[in-house]
Amino acid sequence: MTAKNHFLFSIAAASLTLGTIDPFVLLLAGAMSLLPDIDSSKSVVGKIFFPLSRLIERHFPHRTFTHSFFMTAILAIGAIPLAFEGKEFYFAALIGFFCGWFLDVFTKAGVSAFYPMSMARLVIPANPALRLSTGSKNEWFFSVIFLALFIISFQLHSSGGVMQIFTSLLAQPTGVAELYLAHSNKSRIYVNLSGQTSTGQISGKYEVVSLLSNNTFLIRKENSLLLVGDSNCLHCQIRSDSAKGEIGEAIYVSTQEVRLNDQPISKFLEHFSGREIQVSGELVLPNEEINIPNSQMKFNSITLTTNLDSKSARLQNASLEDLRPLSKFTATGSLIVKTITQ
Amino acid sequence: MNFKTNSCYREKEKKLIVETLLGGHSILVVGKAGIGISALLKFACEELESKGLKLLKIAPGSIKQILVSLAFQLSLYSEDDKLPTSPRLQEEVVEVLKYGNFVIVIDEANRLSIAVRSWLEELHENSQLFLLGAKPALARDIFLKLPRMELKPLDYEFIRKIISETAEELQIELTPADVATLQERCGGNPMLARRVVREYQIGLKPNALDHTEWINGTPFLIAALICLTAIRFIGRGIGDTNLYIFGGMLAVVGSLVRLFMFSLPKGSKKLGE
Repeated sequence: MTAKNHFLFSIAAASLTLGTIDPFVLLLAGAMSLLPDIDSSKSVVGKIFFPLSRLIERHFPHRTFTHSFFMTAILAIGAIPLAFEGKEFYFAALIGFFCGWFLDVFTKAGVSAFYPMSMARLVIPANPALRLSTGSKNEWFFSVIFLALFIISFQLHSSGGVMQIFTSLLAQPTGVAELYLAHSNKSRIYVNLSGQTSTGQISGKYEVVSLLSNNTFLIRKENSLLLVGDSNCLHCQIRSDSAKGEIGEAIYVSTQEVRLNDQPISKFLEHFSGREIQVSGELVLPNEEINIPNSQMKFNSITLTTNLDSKSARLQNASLEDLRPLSKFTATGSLIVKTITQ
Repeated sequence: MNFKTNSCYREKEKKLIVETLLGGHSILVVGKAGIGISALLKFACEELESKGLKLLKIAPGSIKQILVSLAFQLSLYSEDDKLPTSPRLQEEVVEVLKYGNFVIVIDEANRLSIAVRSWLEELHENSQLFLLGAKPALARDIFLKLPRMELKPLDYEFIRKIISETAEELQIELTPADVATLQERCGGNPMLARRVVREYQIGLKPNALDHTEWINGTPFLIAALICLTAIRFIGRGIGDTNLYIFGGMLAVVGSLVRLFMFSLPKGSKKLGE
């Protein structure tokens, strides 16, 4: 294969396998793909490193030790210092080198891939009539394929990667859950949702507030939280037909633990006033009448339990508004507060 | 056994042949076409003759032709003499062979007829020494009974020397890059090494390379693709539906590639076809 095809194939392979479009990483992979041909003074890299290529070709046939698993293993060890610069660089160098010689397996002469154990040439396919001649017109056909592969890879990774696009196509809650796990610490996550509620059809774009499992999540709709799951989720308020995740505006998320020791909840609310927070945890409250309306039509972020001499409140993704009915009480307990700032 | 080269590139094998025959044992040298059996036999014969062994070199032919050749070499008759009938000649040859320390040398022994091979087998059972060269496919009668030495492809350093020698003979100049590229086309086969230089001289760029040292990588490629099926099980194991479906799709692609690759027409494994 020509240097051009080695280069294109290597950057496409590196981009697809490493999931990157970093130009430095891809250029390194492309440059390394030319290195195996240092065993020929007629190649591009052979001309650059002429004394070395002449020395190699005086002792070895073309496409032998530089086109082998043995040489790849040596490179894998020798390039370890590159891993300190970044794992991507290290793997790009290896993938580029490997693709550089492995592509020649599809040529008429093949490569001595198992050097020094065997000089026999590894070829794919077995029939020589179906293999490529280096520099033939057919190489253009492969150039186009490799270029297309690279453009597809570039597009895929610009849009979040292969799996993200695939999960987006399937439009399942698991895809939204994965997107939330991957990006919710830096961005708001929205879901374009259509599904069934107990009262009928729902569709629209909503903010994802939290995950409850790998296929159920909470969305906020008009100050209420709703649990979304797939069509088999019986306790969900929304059973989704289609759920496509979307990355929204950038946010800064911080999490802190707050302990209350018989302290008024109003102080807590005052402290976090004006901020967007989500509170989870458990509080012990006095055994007085507390009115928090519970409904099966929404996700209840505060669940009250009455004990012998006290009440306990279980909080799950509760907002400041949700906590207002508790403001006149003192409480003891530990809370995890997630603060979101734009 | 007509070679221009004066260099033997299989010294180890030659030494083994000479020692085997001097030790009173026969040997069969086998190898693929062009691998250098005839050259090795030629150099081994020179060495054996220098050590005083009497060699009877015969070319494959009918039993009558072989008997006549042996009778002349054993000085039983001269070309002017009237030869007896074949059975009579056979008896006389056997009688002389019985009492002399001769080595019968036959190159391309795979071309011998079954009648000749049966007679040679009889001679072998009567302790006659043989040095035979043949292609490896034959595994019957005398070829099965003789100790067998299989010639491996020649080391690439020697192939490089053969290419350079041939280029010198043909008075053409080859750069180290040309030699390295020509070596790609001949593997470890010295006959092909000479041929590729002649092809280079007349400007031929053959489409098919017909040495036989190939490893078919198709099963490795298929195996690597089938390994992607594991993604499906990982998806199932961790309860990731998307990964499960994606892995399933990759498994289908792997199966399709496999089907396609195995439906391609297969190339011949024989040299020159």
